[in-house]
Amino acid sequence: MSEQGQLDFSAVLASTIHDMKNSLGMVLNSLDQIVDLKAGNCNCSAEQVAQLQYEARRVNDNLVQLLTLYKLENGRHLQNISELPVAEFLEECYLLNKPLIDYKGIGIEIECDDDLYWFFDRDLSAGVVNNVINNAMRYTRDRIRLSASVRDGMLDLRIEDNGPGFPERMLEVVGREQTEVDFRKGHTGLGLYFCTKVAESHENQGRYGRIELANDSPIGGGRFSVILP
Amino acid sequence: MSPKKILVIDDFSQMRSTLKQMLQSIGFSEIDTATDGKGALDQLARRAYDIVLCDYNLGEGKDGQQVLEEAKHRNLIGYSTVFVMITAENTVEMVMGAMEYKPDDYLTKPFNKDLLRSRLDKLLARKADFDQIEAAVQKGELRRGISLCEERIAKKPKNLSEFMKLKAELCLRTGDLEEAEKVYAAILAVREVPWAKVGLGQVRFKQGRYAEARDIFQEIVDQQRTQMEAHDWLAKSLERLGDTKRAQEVLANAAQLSPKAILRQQALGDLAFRNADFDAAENAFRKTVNLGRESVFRKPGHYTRLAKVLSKNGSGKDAIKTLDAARKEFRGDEKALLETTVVEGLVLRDQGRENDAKKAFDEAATLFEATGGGAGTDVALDMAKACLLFGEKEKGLALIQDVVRNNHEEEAVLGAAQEIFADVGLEDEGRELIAATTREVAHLNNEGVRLVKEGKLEKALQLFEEAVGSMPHNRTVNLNTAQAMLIFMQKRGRDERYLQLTRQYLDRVKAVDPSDSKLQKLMGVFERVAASSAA
Repeated sequence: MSEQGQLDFSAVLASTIHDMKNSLGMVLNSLDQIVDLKAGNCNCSAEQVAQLQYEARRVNDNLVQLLTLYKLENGRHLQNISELPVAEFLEECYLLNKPLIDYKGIGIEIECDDDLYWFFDRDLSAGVVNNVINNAMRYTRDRIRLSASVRDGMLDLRIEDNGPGFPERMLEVVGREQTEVDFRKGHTGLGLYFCTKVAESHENQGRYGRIELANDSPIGGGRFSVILP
Repeated sequence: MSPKKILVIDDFSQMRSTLKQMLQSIGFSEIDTATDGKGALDQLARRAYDIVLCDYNLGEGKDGQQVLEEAKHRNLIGYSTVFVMITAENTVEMVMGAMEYKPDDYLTKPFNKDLLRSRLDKLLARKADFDQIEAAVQKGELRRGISLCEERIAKKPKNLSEFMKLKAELCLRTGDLEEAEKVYAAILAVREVPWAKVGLGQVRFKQGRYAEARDIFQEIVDQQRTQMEAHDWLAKSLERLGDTKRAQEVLANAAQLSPKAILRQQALGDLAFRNADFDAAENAFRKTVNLGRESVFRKPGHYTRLAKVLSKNGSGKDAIKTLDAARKEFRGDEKALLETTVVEGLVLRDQGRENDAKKAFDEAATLFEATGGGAGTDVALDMAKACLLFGEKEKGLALIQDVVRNNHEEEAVLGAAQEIFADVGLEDEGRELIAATTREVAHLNNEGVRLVKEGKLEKALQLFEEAVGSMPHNRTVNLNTAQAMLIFMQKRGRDERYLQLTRQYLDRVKAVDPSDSKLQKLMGVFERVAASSAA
């Protein structure tokens, strides 16, 4: 890792710890609210459970991402590239998030040829797509679209929503070395950093993976592309 | 409700009940659970399951991979059982590095019931899709497996490349290198697919083009460090090219990436020993013995190897302790007792304890006699070395000659024999003996083949039957004898005795190397001869 990269990572790490601490704080608060110690039972709304699930998932995802990054940086990750049916892969990414998507009443559409197969690391890439879906769930109005196709000899996995789109500063950040960290708004930078590193860890015949952000989605909001060689 | 029977293996009761609930809500009702590896294997032995969900991490005792290995090795689960390994992010690589027996799929925690349902549906469908082919392969009918693959490929299914991959693998196993190469080349023309590249490397290796094979495997390893198979093949290629130092480095690197793969540790130890890198060998054999504790691949040879290298490194006491541990582990196993006692004699002698050594040697000699020649190559060589050291030169030489006669084309065995001669100061005499013996066996084979070609079948059969009687473990002699008998039956019709003998000879080779290409060809002929004459 370059010196610049190390600086970035320690900033990302600090802000992620901060963020996870907030999440756990929220979980503890919610538990206090719903547990009736005297009666010895829990009273909670579906909304509270969904919130708890969301926060717990977030902490878990963050920790998994940190561990994966650590292994990627130290060359300890055994990449498991295999040929996978992309439509099934996207379907599974959706299924993993289905409970929350259903709860939030978000409409989901998947667009991918059944006979599209590609070579990539399933677990790593699922981590990336799930991360982006999670983000999209937060900002979308009511639709998320997952699609995949081959462009310029690379697999383009797209996660789009019909929310307000990515803020200008995020669009600028991508592709540059520096990752922006904003402690107040819960933008830890970890997600973006993780997505970039995982994409870059995919290599084929001298071409490397990357991510691409734009606000040009046909359904109206942001588009997050994971492009794999 | 689905009638499928499922076994859930997890050491955490909460995880077991969560999984059970998930499965019930999906529509499965026949769900059993097990809490550890031993319990799981007992259940698998009692009942046939359609699906096994097994956590990799099972606490004390066997881990998930060892459960899978033992279940497959003992035939407790057949090809139609779906085995899914449940992994946490920190155990994925442990599973990935396994050398043989891979699960049908991995599922990384956390997951929900929607994902589980979708995954199981697909795995069951896939099993059904490959059902016929797998059944043929299981029965050893590889050629039928290939033609079934071809039928499917002609229909251009969605998962075309899976059928191509399987077909190429089967071609490799039957020795149809040309066809295998065609498949791999077709895939590689489109994309640098790792499995196709590994396959092409194997074709080159089997063609004896070791330098080309080495370059291919090296390229794969450089691009993708995590292709464990490529590491193993790279080491084998280097070994064939005589570069055992590099081969050892490659395996050491691979073993580091897959610290739990016992067979790879053993191979590393053997290579290091050959390279006289006794520290590395000791380290590798120590790991092999430790990994073997819960593994179906555990064997006395791991302990004797460790003992030998400990003795070389001047730790004679530890060597004896290791052998004692082996005797305890394999109590009641006569062969294990023989193996350890022979080596004990050698180790005690290294320590200068002549009397104890002689006692162990005499004991081993008695045990060896009792096996009636069925002790196996490694033990026979150890025994031979002991004979030479304890002054029974004639007997030692005869034993080595017997081993060489039975293995006249196995480089590793001949090398080990030569090493023994070097160790006891009979280098030149030994080299002469090995050369003369291999010449004699080669000549005998050529003579038999010539007689077959000239149509003097009775004479050829007489020669081969005699040869196979005196060298029952010689691969070439077994195959040539089987071939001569098959040709005889093709020309003169069915012969019950020859059919039975042919099967026996082919089975012997199959037990050592089921992928021997000549064996595969002869098995095809055998099936035709047996079928046609029965009609």
